[in-house]
Amino acid sequence: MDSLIFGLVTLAILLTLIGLRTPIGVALGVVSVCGLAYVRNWPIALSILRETPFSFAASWDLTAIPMFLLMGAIANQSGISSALFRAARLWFSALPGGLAVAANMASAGFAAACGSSLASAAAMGRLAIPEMLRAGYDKGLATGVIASAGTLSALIPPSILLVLYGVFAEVSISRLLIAGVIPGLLTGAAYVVMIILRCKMNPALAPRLAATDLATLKQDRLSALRETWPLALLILGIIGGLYGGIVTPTEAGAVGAALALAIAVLQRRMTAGRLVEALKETMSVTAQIFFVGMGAVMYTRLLSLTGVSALLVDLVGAWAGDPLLVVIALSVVFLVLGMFLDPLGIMLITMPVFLPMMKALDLDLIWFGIIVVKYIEIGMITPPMGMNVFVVKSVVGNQVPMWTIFRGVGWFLLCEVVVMTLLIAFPGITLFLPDLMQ
Amino acid sequence: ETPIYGSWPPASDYLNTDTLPAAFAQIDADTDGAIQWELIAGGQLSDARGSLAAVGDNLMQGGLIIPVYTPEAMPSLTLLYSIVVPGDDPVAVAGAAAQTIFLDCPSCLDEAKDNQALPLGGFASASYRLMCTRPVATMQDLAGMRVRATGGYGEMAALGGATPMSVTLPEGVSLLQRGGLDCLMAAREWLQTYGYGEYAKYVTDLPLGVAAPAVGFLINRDMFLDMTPDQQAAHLRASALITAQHTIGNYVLRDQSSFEAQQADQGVKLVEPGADLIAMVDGFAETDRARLIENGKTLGVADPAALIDTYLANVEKWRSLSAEVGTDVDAFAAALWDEVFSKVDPGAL
Amino acid sequence: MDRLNQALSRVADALFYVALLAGGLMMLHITVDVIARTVFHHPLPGTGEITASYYMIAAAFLPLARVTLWDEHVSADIFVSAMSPRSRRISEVFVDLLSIAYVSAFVWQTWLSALSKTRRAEVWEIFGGYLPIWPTRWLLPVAGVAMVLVLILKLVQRFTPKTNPMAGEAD
Ligand code: NA
Ligand code: NA
Repeated sequence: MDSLIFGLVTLAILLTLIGLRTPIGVALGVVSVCGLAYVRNWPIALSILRETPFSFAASWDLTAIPMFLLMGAIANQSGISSALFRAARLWFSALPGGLAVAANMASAGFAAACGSSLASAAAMGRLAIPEMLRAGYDKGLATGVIASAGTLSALIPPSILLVLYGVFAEVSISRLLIAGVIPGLLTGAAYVVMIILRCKMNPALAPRLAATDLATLKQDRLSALRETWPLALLILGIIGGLYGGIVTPTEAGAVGAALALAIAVLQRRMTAGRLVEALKETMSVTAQIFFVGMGAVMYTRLLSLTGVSALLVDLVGAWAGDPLLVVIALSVVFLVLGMFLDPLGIMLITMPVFLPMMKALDLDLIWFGIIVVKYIEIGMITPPMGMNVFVVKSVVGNQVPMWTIFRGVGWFLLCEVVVMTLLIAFPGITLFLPDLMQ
Repeated sequence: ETPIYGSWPPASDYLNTDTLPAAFAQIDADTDGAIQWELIAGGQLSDARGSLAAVGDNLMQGGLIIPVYTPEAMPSLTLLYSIVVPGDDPVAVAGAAAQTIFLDCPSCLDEAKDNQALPLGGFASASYRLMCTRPVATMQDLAGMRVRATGGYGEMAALGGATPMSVTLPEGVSLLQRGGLDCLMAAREWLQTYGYGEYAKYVTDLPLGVAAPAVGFLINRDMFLDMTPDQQAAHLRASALITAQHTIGNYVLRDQSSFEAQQADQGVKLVEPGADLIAMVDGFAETDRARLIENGKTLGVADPAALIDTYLANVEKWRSLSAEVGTDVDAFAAALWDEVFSKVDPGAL
Repeated sequence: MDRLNQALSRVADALFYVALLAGGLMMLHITVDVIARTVFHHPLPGTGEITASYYMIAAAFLPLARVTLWDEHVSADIFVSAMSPRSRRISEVFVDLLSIAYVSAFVWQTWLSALSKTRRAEVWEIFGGYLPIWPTRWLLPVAGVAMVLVLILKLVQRFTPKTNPMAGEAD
């Protein structure tokens, strides 16, 4: 029981520090080092600070993080996102809530080039929200769709969160990435259905376009579609490279970024300035991720050294007649954490605790990874801490109050209830593609 | 006392399921419960490269290390463990490595001392073999093949005209599946453990040689020196058991049985090697010697040639002991005790 | 004060630009390796090791000072928004001190590590030889020192209200 109390105390201190707006990396590191000094001694405690940061960052597997980020940043800088939205607008505007559907579809498409949901929400928000507001769309719908559809980026590969999960859970990253495809598309489809139904029942949410406008839209459809070739080429290049045995999933990030750069140069859309912008965005986020990550690794060491991990496994083993109960309990934990914490923080704080439990229960770790990432992404659109909502808020400025965005997101959260129920009840939805791959 | 062994292979690895539990039970019994090792598996405490420092820093008291991962930290051990010994006798190689380290190589022990560690329980893996997606029998077949191979085996692949590639284990599977990789040089047991058997269906029936890749029971030196003589002896006996259990249990018996299972389940086939390929492998040790000596000098080993010769002479001695031991774990442990550990003065380690 | 601020922000930027370079090189090096081994059957020896130990280390640590300067660290805001201005101020100072202590310990320990790895001339084995690793060990204390200085500057600026913490970044 001692180690359980110890674990809970460290967790309480950790959450208190984070609540005081301590950088999460500092909070994790301080708790780990002091915790180790308490249970062992200072020389041992300091030794993890000496060795962990370098050995965590000097990792070939984790190169996928900066490289997936870079691919998305280059794709955005070179106009892939705007071409996508233009095409989606022309094709879907005729539907009820057409612009919102278009924004959703464009986000799903951009997700195939972009590894982070924040980056996706920022890129699509700048393009689509002004357009929707101009067309007289409900402000909640216009902003909610962007915040929510941004989360598709973490499921549809490439995905930073899935790579991180794969490294911590020691499961095949290529299988994980493939596993995200169907849940991502399913989520996107659920959003589309909800938007169309809502706008059909309440046309005031999304004013329909005039018949004359619709006619002109149709003329440009094919040419706009042709403008999306860079994304198509990028996706084909990566899939071809993977299936042709030319690149490994880890290398796919770097080669994808180089391919995106080559395409942009070919289009004459890439300047040195834009490349530097893309690199700046990428490297800044990379360092943020690793600063938290090394703290999380130290916290893992502390929990396993003090027997907390083993104890949790025993606890679960004792009462887990039904793994479904465990998953539901974890769902509650994730939803609560997701209200307050940053996505990366949640992932890195929970992995050391939950992974041994999942392994002990013999649950499929690929499936669990998708569930975890789904919950983390849901946390990014729930109040009071909703990172995607904050990004959208920063895009719209004073035009839309924060609360309106959260209200707009509410409908998308309803879709998530359905999607999560399906994903948990039928693991086959998630595992179909990765099983096919073997 | 409950020292902690931090193991980086997954919990399901033979080391964690069989070898270490057996050794820890023996220590528990030998010390009347005074020392009870606790095993924390799956890299929760340290990864492969970090294990030497983690044991030296006393973050964990025991661990598995592969000397080649930190070459400059223990140059003599690195050199010793880089040598590809011709043939297919891991028992002889593991015995010779133990004898060399503890009786014939003062610098090996001094280097370990510098790292506040003691290199107990070293084991040898099975002989590596060439395992490919297409049959490879001759030098002509091998030329231009992309082969996953590390260390000395990489040099052997290059000597055979192939392209050595250093990809991680999971990456290797996906490349092999898609044709980005043609072969790997590895223990046959990997076909099952890492799932290579599904794609690398042609195993050339030619032992490429045995390397001694791991120190299975690296322990913190201060902890060892603080023990009573009886407890120290218990750890030396455990060292012999780990060497014997893991070498025979995992790399002789399991290597064979898992290979037979792969032949039955995955249709893995043996390929008869051609004379030119056999000649290349036979001549490799001689060719590689210069490189090993050069590497040893780079790392700062005083007399690499002498160390290599001592080790290879010990291998010859252990080949006859190995013939007597066969696959008897207890007999091997007893031989290690008689020939090596009974002659070690624990206070001098 | 402003001059100090500017100097520090220039250091932070310089380190950041090295990280940008590392990011670009990472992309190029891996891509060239893929092409070299696919087309020419000649992989570049040590691509994985160089990427992991040089580019990744630069990417992970060198931007830290700038991330700190721009207040971009991953953090959450649970209690602080509900606090009175006075207790908020106290909590901010507390967090600053805690961060300074942590990163200073990081500098101290990674410095010791860099020293001992340099003495030993740390290497990793790659095909055909050894890759020196010890030089990149120094990137950690260097990045850490820059981060601590930025943190100290920010703390000092909390007590000198007129100065804009982003003054050096105005351009
Ligand atoms: Na994505
Ligand atoms: Na939230």
